[in-house]
Amino acid sequence: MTATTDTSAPAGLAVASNSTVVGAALLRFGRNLAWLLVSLIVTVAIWEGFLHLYHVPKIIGRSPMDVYHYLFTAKASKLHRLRSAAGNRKVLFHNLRTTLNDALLGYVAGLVMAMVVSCVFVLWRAVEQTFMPIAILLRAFPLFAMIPLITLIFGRDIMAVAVIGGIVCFFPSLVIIMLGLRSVSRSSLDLMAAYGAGKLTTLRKVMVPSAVPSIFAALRINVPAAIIGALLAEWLATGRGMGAEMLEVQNTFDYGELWSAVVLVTLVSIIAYSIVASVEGGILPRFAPDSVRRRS
Amino acid sequence: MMADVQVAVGSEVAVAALGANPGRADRDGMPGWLGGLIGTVLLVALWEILAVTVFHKLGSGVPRPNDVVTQLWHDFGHGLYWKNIRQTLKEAVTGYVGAVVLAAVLAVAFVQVPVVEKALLRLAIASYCVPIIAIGPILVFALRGDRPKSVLAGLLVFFPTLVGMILGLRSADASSLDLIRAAGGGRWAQLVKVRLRAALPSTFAALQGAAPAAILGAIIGDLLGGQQGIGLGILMVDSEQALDISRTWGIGIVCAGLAGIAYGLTGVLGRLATPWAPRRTQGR
Repeated sequence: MTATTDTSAPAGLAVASNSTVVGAALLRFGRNLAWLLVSLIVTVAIWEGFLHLYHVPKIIGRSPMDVYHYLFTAKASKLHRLRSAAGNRKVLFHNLRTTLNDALLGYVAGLVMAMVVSCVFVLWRAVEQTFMPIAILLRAFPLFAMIPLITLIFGRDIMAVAVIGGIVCFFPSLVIIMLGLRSVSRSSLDLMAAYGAGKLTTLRKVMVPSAVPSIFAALRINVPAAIIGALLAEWLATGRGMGAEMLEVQNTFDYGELWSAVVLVTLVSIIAYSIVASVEGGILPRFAPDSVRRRS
Repeated sequence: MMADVQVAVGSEVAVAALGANPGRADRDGMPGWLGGLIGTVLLVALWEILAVTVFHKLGSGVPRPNDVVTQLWHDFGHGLYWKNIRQTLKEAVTGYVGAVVLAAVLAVAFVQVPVVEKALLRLAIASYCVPIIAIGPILVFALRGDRPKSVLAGLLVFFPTLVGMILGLRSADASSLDLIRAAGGGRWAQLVKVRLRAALPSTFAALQGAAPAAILGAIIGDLLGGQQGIGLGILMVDSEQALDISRTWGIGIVCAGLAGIAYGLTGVLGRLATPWAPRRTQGR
């Protein structure tokens, strides 16, 4: 992450001596760490505040300390389905891995579909005008109502995961990528036209490069969406992984596990989001310096 | 890292900004509504064909469009929908307004006092990353009544709105800001005189994108446990469990319709409030 901030640093820094650069990087790293700590403290404060303010019953509510206990210090007891902290972690991480696999599947499926469809939309305007309004409306159609249909057609296995996760990621990505493909400047289009380029060449040489910032935006904001899609698929279709576990936990009243699962999934989601954001921050200035300047 | 997040956070608003107006005529083609109409007709035709052929053979629960419409007509006639729609709208609007107010306060605080942004931006991202499917049941038990649904609606609205507002506040014209400074104004004078106005187009774009999300959030809240009382999601679960497929699909269409209306209304509102803002994506 420090490397990416270097690229956005003023050019003067590049000439500075090596030790200064390392020092600055360390300083930046330390400062980031400090702010991370502040955010953590605020999170814990809000969490505790929520539990106390709303008088959440003890059997349901878990404090940050409870989650820590569940994950790291718990001894095997009846309360935790005869599992110790190590056992708890094992179950959670096993499910987490399944969910991350599922999320990746939906993520790739949704984004690839979105890229293909947006290219088709851009190449054939009539197709876009016919289906884009529907795509916007379909975003709001509750997936829940279609799950029986999806499981019927695609089964309750990997295909269902790809389809459900894909649908969750598809619509927002489509909208963003379309916007990017369209953001190409008029003069570039004119230039392509003047040289007699066809639609396909124009798409490849001008439109796709100018859509890079949008594609990255889609990649990033779909990280949490893909995880939610995976949870949804597991909950309603496949019956394995974190999504299914979260449902089961409510029947067994193992709320320690549920809260720990929420914490884990959120953490993983934030980390993945930050990684994509860092890659984006590192690459974008090279591809689209304008867009970076415009946004900061 | 901070810079990354900032660059990164930028384009959530794109979602709202694009669609800008599906209903408007384009320079080089048929009017948008006509395209939408053709698309809808094609979709319904495809649905009808599939329903009577492939899905019928599979013995699936895919109703024919005809049945769904008949059922919808019947259900509206018997007043099944109105009170559920009212309830869902109430929850969605409560969550929407709450989240928008919170986002507005935070966006101003972020832009005016950078320290606040450093401390809280990660938290805002966390609110976007929390799996609502998992916290839904917790909220339902902890808060009871309508509130968990409003909170879920608000959660879906909050982050994109915040990002849109920050983006807008930051998009203020640099020379205008300099002018205020040269005339002796401070950060707050810049905010009141320049930034707030500059923020409007991007804010309204975000508000438009968030409107369907609020309704979806309220419906998800219904699905995630609060299966007592009324609401479109509860109605959907009930009819699903009663194997009343035509009605289930009808409810889905009503939900999508509501979201579409919310999207359209907020769009019109934005256009009335910011007539100077560009409404067309550039390039075409």
